[in-house]
This record gives sequence, structure tokens and C-alpha cells, in this order.
Amino acid sequence: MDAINGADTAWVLVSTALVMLMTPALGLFYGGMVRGKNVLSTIMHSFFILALISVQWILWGYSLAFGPDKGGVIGGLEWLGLNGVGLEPNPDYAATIPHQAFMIFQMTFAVITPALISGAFAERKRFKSFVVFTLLWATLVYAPVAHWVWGVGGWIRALGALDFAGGTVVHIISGISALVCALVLGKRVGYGTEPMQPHNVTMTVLGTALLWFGWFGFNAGSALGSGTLAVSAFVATNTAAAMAALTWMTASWIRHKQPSVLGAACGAVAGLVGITPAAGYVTPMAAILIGFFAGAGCFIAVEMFVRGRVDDALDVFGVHGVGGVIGALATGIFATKTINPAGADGLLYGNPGQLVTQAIAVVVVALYAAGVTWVLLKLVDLVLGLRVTKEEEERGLDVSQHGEVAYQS
Amino acid sequence: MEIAIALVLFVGMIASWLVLPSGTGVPTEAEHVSSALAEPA
Repeated sequence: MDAINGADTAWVLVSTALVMLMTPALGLFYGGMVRGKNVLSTIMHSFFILALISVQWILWGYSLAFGPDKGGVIGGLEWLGLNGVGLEPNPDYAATIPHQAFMIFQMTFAVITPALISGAFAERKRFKSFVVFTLLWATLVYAPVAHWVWGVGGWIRALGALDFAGGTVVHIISGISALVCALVLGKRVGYGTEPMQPHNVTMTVLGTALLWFGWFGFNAGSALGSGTLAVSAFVATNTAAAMAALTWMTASWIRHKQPSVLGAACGAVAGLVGITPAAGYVTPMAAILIGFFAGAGCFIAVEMFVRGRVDDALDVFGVHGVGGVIGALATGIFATKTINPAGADGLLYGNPGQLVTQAIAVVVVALYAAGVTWVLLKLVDLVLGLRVTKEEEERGLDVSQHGEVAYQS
Repeated sequence: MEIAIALVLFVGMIASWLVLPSGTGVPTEAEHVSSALAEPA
């Protein structure tokens, strides 16, 4: 039996707690950007998913994602209800920590991924439809894609695609699915004709700060140990976030003539998204460049291509979808075995094939996520109806869906 | 190579801040789609 390492286990548990915090932080990030009449419903999307997927993951999600491989496409049901997932290490995934530590760390990723999508349908989706869609999506989109990319035997993993902490598994599929959600649900009542100002930018910045903090667990924790790789990923994560915050703020300053607080916050998140797949494979200098490309690329996507055309209410596609693609491709350019011998060299280090592999993974995963998300939305719409009524939307989802108000006037 | 590009980007951005306007004083925050669409379609 492999020996459990105390430091590795401690770091992975701390990282699990850090990543867990990211989901309520996302609720604050999104909550500040909606109108005051929808802040509770928006926060609830994230908070509720934390509970919902925590149980789903234990019952069947983990088994589907990481269970014994079935043809490279899905995990088996052998680990249903954590059957056989004990306190001994599973060397296939992490040789020095208890298998349950790896499982619970991965659970926090499964939790935040559907929560990211919720920004696209904010202010207009029925709560019960949200619940059913989320459960189906976590089972039929997240679990298979996690298996393809990270599961032993998964076909994308076998292909050699690199995704250190979830650029493809988390951000691309949530971003693409968010775009499909926004298209299928349609625009909010009054979109384009009446002001929809973020009601509390302070809340958004607090959420951003907590996301940044938690992201150290997301990326450095993905080293699954407390050694040098975790340190390298930690440095790359902070560096890219900082550079992207500076870049987005500069771009918005040029375009809007003011250095925006919200722009700096969005930029930091874009940088964190961009570095996620690359964190354990690139140098600090590459992290600066990835941060720059993520900040600039996401800003351009949000400002010039998405905004006004699609009501992706909280810019999920522009930041997570586009940022995820930038990060995945950048990994194929900047990855180097000098940082992580278990990884691969990228284009700049003499291996152009890695960039092609990354691109294949991006395209296939995006197409799958988009297609299944569309089908799920249509099914849920048929059975439950996706949107609240016009009257409920105008009244606000806090009152119409939850019978509560955030602020007493 | 990477360090040269990173330095140029970082210093270039700082230089741009020195010449950009320090704010219009008008609350036209438009980073986000919600507020960006405050103008009539």
C-alpha cells in the first residue's frame, strides 16, 4: 500500500476548503452585478448548488467521473455511493493522500462548474427549472467531460491534452453552456431599453477577492501534493490574475476614459480562468503573457462581440468560455517539462503537436457541452418551463421565487 | 524572449496610464453588459 503523506493530505484538504469558498464567493461576484431585486436569487444559485452537487457527487457523480473506465467515455457505477472509495490512497489519481481526500477535492470543482453557468440566466430563470437543469447538467455534461480529460482511461487524457486544473473541464464547458443558456432563454425584459446597473459593485469586488484567494486551492491544490509543483502553480496563478487585472483595466480605461473598478475585478477573474489549465506547466514569465492575453481577449470578446447581441447577463461566456479557450491553447504554446516533467512541451519548446492536441480537446468538448446543454434546456422547458413569467421577472426573483427581499427600504 | 515581451507589456501599460484621462467624472461605468445597455437600443 502507498504511504499517506501528512503534508500532502493537509494541503489538499486546505485546498478543498479554499475551492469550496469560491462558490459562495461566486454568488457575491454575480450578486453584486444584478439588480437589487434579484440579488438573493442570484446568490442562491451558487449557494444551493454547493449543497445539491455535494450530495450528487457522493451518490453517483464521482463514480461517473472517476470510476473504473468504460470505453474511454465514462466512469462505471462501481464507486456508487463511494463504495470502495476509502481512506487508502488510489495511486491512479494521487498516491500520497487518502482516496476520499482526492474525491472531496474534486467535488468542489463539480460544484463550482454549474454555478458558473448561473450567471448567464440570472434574473429570469425559474428556480425549480434551475434545480432540475443543474442536476442533469452535472450528470450528463460535467461528469463525462471530467472523465474524458482527467479520468484514468479517459480518451482526451489518452490523447495527451493538458488541463492542469480545469480550463477545459470547468471553464470551457461552463462558458459554452452559458452561451447556449442565454440564447435559449432569451433576453431579460427591458434588456437594451432600460438601465440594468450592477446594484452593488462592492459586493462584486469582495466576491472577486474571495475567488482569487480560493483559486490558490483550485490551481496549486491541483498539484495534489505540497511540493514544488504546488508552489509553481501558486506563483503562476497569482501572476496571471494580476496581469489580466491590469490589462482589462487598461483596455477599459482606453475605451471608456476611466479606470474601472469592475473592470479590474473582471480582469482578475479572466486571468485566473486563463491560467487554470496552464498553472502547473508554465513559467512565471509565461504566466504574465497568459494573463495579458486572457485580460485582453476576454475584454474584447465581452465588449465587442457578446454584449448587445446575447443577454449573457453576467458575461459567463466572455470570461469563462473565451478565457478557458485562451488558456487551453496557451498551454499548448507555453507548457514546458522543466516546470512539470509529467506534462509535455508546448509549441515554444519544440512540440507544435501539443497545440493541435489542445485545440482538438477544446473543439470536441465545446461541441459536446453545447449540444447536450441545448437538449437539456429544451427538455426542461417542455416539462417545467424555463423562464419566470413577465410579471414575476418585473417584480424580481427574490420575491417571486423565494418570498424574500435582500434590502428593507 | 518571454521576459522582454512581459517587460514591454508591463511598462507600456504603466506609461499608458500616465497619459490616459484620469476620469470623466461621469458615472458611465460600462464594463458590464447590464449597465452597458443603459442606452436605448
